[in-house]
Amino acid sequence: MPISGWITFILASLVFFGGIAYCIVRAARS
Amino acid sequence: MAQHTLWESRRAFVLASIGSAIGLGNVWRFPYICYKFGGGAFLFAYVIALVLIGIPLLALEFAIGYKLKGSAPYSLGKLRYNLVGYEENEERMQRKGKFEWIGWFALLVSFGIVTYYAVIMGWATNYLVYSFKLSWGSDPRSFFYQHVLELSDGIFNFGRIQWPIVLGLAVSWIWIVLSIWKGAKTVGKVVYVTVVLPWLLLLVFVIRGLTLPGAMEGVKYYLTPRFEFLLNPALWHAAISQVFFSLSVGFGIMIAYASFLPPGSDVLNNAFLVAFSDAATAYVGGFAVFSALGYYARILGTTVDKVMKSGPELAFVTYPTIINHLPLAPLFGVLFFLMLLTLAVDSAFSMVEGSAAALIDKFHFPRKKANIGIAVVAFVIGILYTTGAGLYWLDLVDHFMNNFGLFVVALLESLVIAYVYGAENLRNYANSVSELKVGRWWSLSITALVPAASFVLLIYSFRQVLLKPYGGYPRVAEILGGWLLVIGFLVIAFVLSRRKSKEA
Repeated sequence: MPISGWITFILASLVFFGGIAYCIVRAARS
Repeated sequence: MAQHTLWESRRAFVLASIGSAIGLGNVWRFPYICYKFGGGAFLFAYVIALVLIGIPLLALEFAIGYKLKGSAPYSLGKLRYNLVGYEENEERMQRKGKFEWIGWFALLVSFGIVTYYAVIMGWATNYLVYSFKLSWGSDPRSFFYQHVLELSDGIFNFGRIQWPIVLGLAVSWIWIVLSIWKGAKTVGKVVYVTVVLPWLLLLVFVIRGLTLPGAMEGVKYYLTPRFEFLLNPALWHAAISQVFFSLSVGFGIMIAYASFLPPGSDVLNNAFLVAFSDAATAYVGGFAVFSALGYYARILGTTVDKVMKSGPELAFVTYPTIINHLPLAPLFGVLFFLMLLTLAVDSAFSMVEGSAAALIDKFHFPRKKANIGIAVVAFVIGILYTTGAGLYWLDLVDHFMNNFGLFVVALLESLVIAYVYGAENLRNYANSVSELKVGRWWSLSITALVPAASFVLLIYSFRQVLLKPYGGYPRVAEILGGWLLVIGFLVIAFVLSRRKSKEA
C-alpha cells in the first residue's frame, strides 16, 4: 500500500477511535 | 401522553442508539461507496459531512426527544409552543400542534423501510441455515437469484411466493417483537448482545481477512486516497447521503429513544459518541470487506475493482463465494450471517419501537398490542418482497424511502427548529444538559447546512428520477412503489395528526 494509504489509515483511525475515546473520557469525568 | 419505560442506564441508551444506527449499510454500502469515490478522499469528505451535518441533526433529534419526552409526532407537535415567550400563554399551549405530521411521516417512512428490511433478515436467516452445508455450492450467484429468490424477468411478473423466505421473515418478526416487548426495558437488555456480538464478529472477519493472501491489495483499494475526487460533486453527494442513511436520523427513532432518557441525562456527548461509533463500525467493516475481496481477486487472478460489489450481491453472492475458499468454511458462513442478522435486528426493532411509542402516546394503545399490530401489518406487506419480483420492488421502494422520505424529513425538521423554534434556543437547552457544549456552528449547521444539503439531495434525486426511471423500471412501477407510497404516507401523516389524541 502506498504511503498515502498508510497516512489515511492512521488519520482515519485517530479521528474515529479518538472521537469515541474522547466522548467516553468526558462522560467518565462528569 | 402515556408514560414510557425509561432506559435503565446511559449505557443501554447509547448501545440502543448505536445499534439503531449501525446496520447492513455499514458493511455492504459504506466500503463500496468509499472505494468508488476516492478511498481516503471519501473518508475525508465523510468526516466533514459527519461533523457538520450528521452530528448536528442527530443532536437535534436527541435534544427535542429529551426535552419534550415523547415520540416523534408528539415532540414535533409540541415544538410550536415552546417558542420563547409562549410558555406562559396557556391558550396557545392548548392549541393543536402544527408539525405533528412531520413526525408521523418520518415514522411511516421508517415503517416502509422495516417492511423490506425484515425480508433481508429473512434471507439471512435462510443463509444461516444454508451455511452449515454450504448449500449455495460452487455457484452462489445462481443459487441466490434462481433458487432462493426465484427472481422473475420483470417487476410485474410476481412468480411464486418463496415460502422459506416467508418462514425466515416470520422468525425475524418474532425476534423483533420480542426485542421490544416491554419497550426500553427489554431493548436495554437485548442490545448488550445485538450490538456487542456483531462487533466481535466483525473483528473476527477483519482478522481472518487480513491474514489471507492478497488482503493488503484489497485494503489498498479501500484506503489509498485519490484526491482528484474532492473536486467532484458526486463525492460530496455520496458522503452526505451516506451520513444521512447511516445515522438513523430522519426516521423519528432517535427522538423516541431520547425521550426514554431519565432526568439528568446528557444529550450532546451521547450524540457525538453514537455518531463516531457508527462511523468507526463502517470504517472497520471496510477492512473486513476489502481484505476478503483482495483475497478473492488473487484467487481469480484479477484486480479488486473487478470483483467489487455492494448491497445484497456482496452479502449473498460474493461473500459466500469467498467463504467457499476458506478453511472451516461452514463456520465462517454461520458467523457471517449471524453478524448480518445481529447488525440488522437492532435497526429493525428501533424502527418499530419509534412507531409503537407514537401509537402509545397518541392513541394509548397497550404496548404489546402496538408491537404485535405493527409486526403483523409489516409481515403481511413483506410477503410482496418474498415473491419472484420481490427484489425489484425492494430496490425501488428502498430508493424512494431513502431518497425522498428521509431527505424530506431532514429538511423539514431542520427548518422547523431553525425558523420556528429557534436553533439557538435548542442549542442553549442542549448545552445546559450536556457534558459537551456546542458553539454557534451548530446553529449555523441547523439553519443553513442541513436544510441546504437535504434540499440539494432532494432536488438531485428528483431530477435523476425525472430524467430516467430509477433502475430502468417501468414508470408505472415507479409510480406505484415510489410516488404513490411517498404521497400516501404524507396523506396518512396529515390524517393521523388531525385525529384527536385519546387523552384529549
